[in-house]
Parts: sequence; C-alpha cells; structure tokens
Amino acid sequence: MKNSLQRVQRRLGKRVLFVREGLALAWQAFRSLPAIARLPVRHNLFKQLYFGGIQSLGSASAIGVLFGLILVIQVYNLVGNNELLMLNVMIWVIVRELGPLLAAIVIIGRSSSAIASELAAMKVHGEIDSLQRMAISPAAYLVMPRILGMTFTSLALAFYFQVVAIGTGMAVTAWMLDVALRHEIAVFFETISFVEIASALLKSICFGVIVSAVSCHYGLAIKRAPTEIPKAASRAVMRSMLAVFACDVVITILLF
Amino acid sequence: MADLLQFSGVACADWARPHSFTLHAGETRLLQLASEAEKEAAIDVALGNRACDEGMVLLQGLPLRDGKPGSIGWVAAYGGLISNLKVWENVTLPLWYHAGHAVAETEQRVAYWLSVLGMAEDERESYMEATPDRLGSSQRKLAGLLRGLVQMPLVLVVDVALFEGIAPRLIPVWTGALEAYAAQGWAVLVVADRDTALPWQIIE
Repeated sequence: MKNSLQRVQRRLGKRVLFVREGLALAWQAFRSLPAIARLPVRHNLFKQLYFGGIQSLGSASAIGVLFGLILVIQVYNLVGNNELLMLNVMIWVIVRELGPLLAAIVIIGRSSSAIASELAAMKVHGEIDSLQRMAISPAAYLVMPRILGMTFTSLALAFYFQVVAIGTGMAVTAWMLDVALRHEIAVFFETISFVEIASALLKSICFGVIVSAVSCHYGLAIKRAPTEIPKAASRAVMRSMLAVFACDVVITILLF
Repeated sequence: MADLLQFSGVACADWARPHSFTLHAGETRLLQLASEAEKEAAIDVALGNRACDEGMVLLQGLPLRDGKPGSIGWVAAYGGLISNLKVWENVTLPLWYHAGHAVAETEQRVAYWLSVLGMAEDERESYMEATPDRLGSSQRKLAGLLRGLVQMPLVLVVDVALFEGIAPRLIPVWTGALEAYAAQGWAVLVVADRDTALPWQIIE
C-alpha cells in the first residue's frame, strides 16, 4: 500500500515537474522574443512557418473537406431538413471545438515528433553545446522561433480548416436542402457569436504554444544517447495530445 | 600591445594547477593542459560558458561576463557544425546572430578567408551550399575554422584537435590563416591537451 502510494506520488511529482519545466521553457522563450530581430532567428522562424504551416495546408484541406462532409451527412440524418440547426451544429462542432482541436492534431502529427526528434538529435550530436559555445542561446535560437512559428501556424491552420470545413458543409447543405449558398452564408454570420470566434482563437493560440513547448521540452530534455531520440519523439506526441485536450477542457469550462 | 584576454589564477576543481597568462592583440599562443577534460573545461571557461572555481578571466580588462556576447569566438575540433544548416548558414551563424552584417559584406569576408585558406574559387559555391553530412572530416573542420575567422571576435579560441587528422599540406595553410587573423589586431588562443608540433609559443 505504502509502495503504491509512493509510486503514485512519484508519478504525480514527475507530471508536476513536466508542467513546471514546460512552462519554464515557454517563459524563457517568451523572454527571448527580442532575438527575433536577429537574422538567423528569423530564418528559423520562417522555416517553421513553411514546414509547419504551408506544408500542412494539403492535409488540413483534405481533413477539412472530409470532416465538413461527414458532419453534414450525420446531422442531416439526425435532424433532416433543418438549415438553421445544421448551421448551429457546424458552429458548435467546428468553430467552438473541433476546428482548433483538429488543426492541433494535424500540427502534432506533422511537427511535434519532428521538432522533438530534431532537437534531441542536436543534443545527442553536441550541437546544442556548439551553440552555447558560440554564445547563441538555444532558447532564443531554437525554442522561441518554434513556439512562435507553431503558434502562428496553429492559428492560421485552425482558421483555414474551419473555413474549408464550414465552406464544404454549407455547400453540401445548400445542395441537399436546395437553398441559396449566399443566404446560408448570411445566416451563418448572423448566428455565430463573438465568444465562439474568441474561444476558437484562444484555443488555437494555447494549443500552438502547448504543442511547441512540450515538443521542445522533450527534445531538449533527453540524455545523450541515440536510443533516446525516438522516445523523445513519441513522448512529445503523446504528451502534446494530452496537454491539448486538458487545455481544451479548461477553456471550454471557462468560456461556455 | 593591448591586453585582450587575461587568465588570473584561473582553476577549476579537477585541474592540476591554476593558470595565469595575458593574451595581447596580435598574439597566437598555445595553452597546454594535462588532459582532455581540462582542455574542454578551459575552453568553456575562456568562452564564458563555465565559471571557474578560483581566479578570474578578464576580457579587455573587464570581467568576461560583462563583455559583449560573441566577443570570443570558438573553433571546434571537428567543426561543431549545425546539421540542419548549410555550410554558408553555419559559417554566418555567429556573425549574423551577434552582429548582423550586410550580405555583400559577409560574402566579401568569406571570400577573403576562403582564399587565405586556399580554397579554389570554383569549389566555393558547391562547398557553401553543402550540408554538413555531405562533407568529409577536413571540410567540416575547415567550415568550423572559417566560421570563427568570419565572425572576427576579439579572441579566437581554437581546439588543437582541429589540426589532427588533416592532410599535412593543410597545416601550414591553416596555421598561417590563424596568424594572419591575429595580425589584424585580434588574438588566438590554441588550447591543447598534449604535446604538439604547432609553431606557437606555449603559455607556461
């Protein structure tokens, strides 16, 4: 019994430490923001935006179209010929909840393991030490551009995903219910509230910060063994996912 | 001659003895230490990456921590390159991170040092575009040396292992480049952990 309690305590302690270290890293990166004026840091940021954002557009589009279709078909089967309810469900599901979440999942799938394994490999090969010996702060040069890039990416990708999913949903609804698409768009903008848009933005920003901070943390926290690199990548993916869902719950409770 | 780097009774816990010396502008000198661990520690202390347990390190008469970041450059034993950057990005990284120079000016500086280091003009473009994984050991070392020279720090700290395993014909070229660098009013500190045939005066 005592052993079990100690084990639980140890695991809880590790979780608390993980959150604390992740937050410390994000704070360190935030304090390094002025370094964005330096050319190599900006290059790093642009690379992140390109890799995490531009190259994810294809998968985000495909998932957005498919998700819009699935949602409309399911809701149509459930509520039948009810245009307003279909739009409301789209707003509840896509804007409030799944838009930012699915964009975060695309980012986790594409970038989380990539960031963690890249940083872990840099650590194993002594490149982090090389940066420090050149008086280049890893927080400013490696972590901050990744956090900033992933946050922008998360925001833009979630917005893009929502536009694609809702656009698909509205087009299919207009076709199935035989209503004008222009009318549906007008009803959509009358129905959606500021809180819903704000929650989507807030979630996207928080998810971007969380995924990047967790990925960077796991990438940099490894010991110097090549066998640790895949472990860091898989931990980064799983913990990012867990942290994103936890954050989603908190924001949803606070806002709705 | 102006004092650039001064070690005053500097020692770390695992060092055989403390070290005191002054490196003046225009000098290239060799600091010979007892072991590789001591060499690594001395490099870190000189770069301000590690605090010494005793004594103090001064840069232009001021404590090292008060100096401008990037005032002391480093030439790694095996290049110390960042694997996801091309050679050009590696070479310009510390310069552009610490000082920020115009591209044209940097290109001139790189071209100058490449000619001092004896690289033919027709090889330069493909070399600069290569990633470290496509380079041989000597080419990686050359990129590390070039990076230090292009950065133009007050003091360049060089790991002596830079000169190990390279073609003998390159040694006088590279030592000549370091001397030419020091002659421009800077200083070079070569840190060794064993006897070496390099031509520089050993710090006693």
